[in-house]
Amino acid sequence: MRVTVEMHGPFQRFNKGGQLRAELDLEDGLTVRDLLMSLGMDMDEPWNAGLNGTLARPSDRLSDGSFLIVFPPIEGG
Amino acid sequence: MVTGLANKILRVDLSNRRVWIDEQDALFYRRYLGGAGILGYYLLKEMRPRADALSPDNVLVFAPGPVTGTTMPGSARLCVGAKSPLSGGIAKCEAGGFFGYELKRAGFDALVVQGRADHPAYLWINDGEVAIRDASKLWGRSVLETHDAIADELGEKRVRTAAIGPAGENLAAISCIMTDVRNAAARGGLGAVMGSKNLKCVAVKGKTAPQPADPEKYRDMSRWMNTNYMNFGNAARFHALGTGADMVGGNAIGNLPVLNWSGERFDDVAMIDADALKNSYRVAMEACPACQIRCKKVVELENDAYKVDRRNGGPEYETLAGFGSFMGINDLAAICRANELCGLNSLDTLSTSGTIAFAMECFEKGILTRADTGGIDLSFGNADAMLEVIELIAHRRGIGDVLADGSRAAARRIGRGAEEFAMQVKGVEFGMHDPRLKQGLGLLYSIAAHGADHMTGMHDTLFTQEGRGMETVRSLDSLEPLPADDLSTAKVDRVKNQHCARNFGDSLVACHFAPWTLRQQVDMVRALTGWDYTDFEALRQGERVATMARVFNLREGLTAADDHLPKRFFSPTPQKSAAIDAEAMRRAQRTFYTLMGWDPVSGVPTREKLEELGIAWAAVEEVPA
Repeated sequence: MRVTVEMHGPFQRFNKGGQLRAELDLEDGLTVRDLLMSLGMDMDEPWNAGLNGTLARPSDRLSDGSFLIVFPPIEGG
Repeated sequence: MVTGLANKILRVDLSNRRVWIDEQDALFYRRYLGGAGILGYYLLKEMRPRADALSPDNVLVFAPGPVTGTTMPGSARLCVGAKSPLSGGIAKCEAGGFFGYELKRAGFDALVVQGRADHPAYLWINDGEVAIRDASKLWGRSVLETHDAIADELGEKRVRTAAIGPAGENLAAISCIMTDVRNAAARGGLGAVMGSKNLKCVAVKGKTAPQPADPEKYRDMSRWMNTNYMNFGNAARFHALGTGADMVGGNAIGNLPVLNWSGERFDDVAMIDADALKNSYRVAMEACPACQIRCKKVVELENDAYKVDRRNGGPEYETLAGFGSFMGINDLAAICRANELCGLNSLDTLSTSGTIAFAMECFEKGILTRADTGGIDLSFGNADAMLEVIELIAHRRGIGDVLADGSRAAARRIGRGAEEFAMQVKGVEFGMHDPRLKQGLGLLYSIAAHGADHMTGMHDTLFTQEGRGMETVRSLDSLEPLPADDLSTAKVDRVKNQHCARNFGDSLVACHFAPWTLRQQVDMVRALTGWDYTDFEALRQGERVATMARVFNLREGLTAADDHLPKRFFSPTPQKSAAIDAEAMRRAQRTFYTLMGWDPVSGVPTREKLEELGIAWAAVEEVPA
């Protein structure tokens, strides 16, 4: 499956080629957690992800054409 | 006498020009600490019940906390409050910069102002000496002009100020107090309270550094934070970009408010976020005293229509979103200019953008027309109109007079069904975080005594999964990740404890961007005062702050009926996928009341709870039905 992944701030360096946004070809059935771990992301670092427009759970499954965005959680401001 | 504190509270009565000192005993400080604790105490003790918020009887409190004035990173804040002309209940907010730091170093733990001067005045607090000086020539001037004129008059280039501009003078209930020109004690209409007292400014200078009981421990903690802050919380992100980073992410998950809470996504978010600002108008970052995080943006720009002066500060996230996506505006220069206009005139950017967005939705729906707006096309997306209306609000001209007291008051005046679009709780417009996503925050928005404030607790999205975000909640006995839209008892318990921890922080007065743990903050108090202060006392202080504020509100006529979110959040709109379950929120509110020791239906603190917190003296004899 082909998935678009955007990784912001401290997480950008884990994306393919260190890019902000990349197209990844992945095996079917991967979860958000599986993907981020395979990219070598520090899962302990607080993170939020949006999957196709809603807040993603680590256990959510990706599918062909998914858009995943990863960024630090926001509060205050 | 308590080590590390000033042990003096400055009292000023502007009606009779009386100045005196309260020397409270050590037990007072142990019980009320500082900041929000001292605010609650003085409001309950000294303000005549049911006094009008714009009368001389209102009591305006500027309260640094025990750590303010020291070189601890994240300590340079103060709490400011009074009875709110916007809500009719308590106004409570915090501001950074140098003013609180200087007030403590001038020898005072707090400043309490009552009465009304018979002509415009300013206070000059100079290292323990206090004068009430004439401000007639300053009335009508902007915050920046006021600061500079006072610095000139006093011959003090390094003076620190807390001032109002025309909006405060014109008693706009959405006006604020600006400290050091560009930091806002923003929420609840405190600018109007100052204006109603004919108090244009408080100017302060001080040089006495507080002396901790354990200076070595205190110094070690400061050094540790200045060395390690990059590894915790969001401090590294704040250091790089300030607030407003990750608006793209927030937009993607439905946190970013759009079109007065009626829209779902804002396509142009990348044009108005902190990255866009860094790549355009941001010329520097600046810091509060002793803090290396340095999160405050300095902006400068000039175009054919206007200039933005770097001395007037740069927009925080709330302002970027409020004058941006919330109004459908993608013009970053206009947002910077809006921030400047609000600062110069002393208007709260959240309530001002909230009220203008309300007016825009009314205009879109034909409830307001050009006849009402004086010909202004107040459509969503019109940045020029937005800037024009800010100045009209500040001077109460035309439609500005209708909007100057916030969206709730404006809706009542407009009628024609406008009330449905006034998005507020207790008259206070929301912070820019969607309660349909962050439902624990939604619970706090509804219950917090001072209205829909986004700084009342940790946001739900920080603890939805395992990771370092969970450590903060685990230390408050809340062990498992919880979904952001969960309103179970476990979530309510977490929210309640976070709220109390925050209230303790607002008593210190700690910056919530410096990633101190509760245990470290308790250690700060121990090292400063020499007390055997504990985590237990800290959380109890948090309960005390919330309960005092609740009692004040009850006394002033607010009830559990005022703890409600606007209807919009309970139905899914065609564009917004999520909605809050009304019954789940009602249950969560009752649970929150119960966990706080308040009656589960009326939300009235029990007698036993008041006694437990040592504030039974504040009990309200008759609670309105």
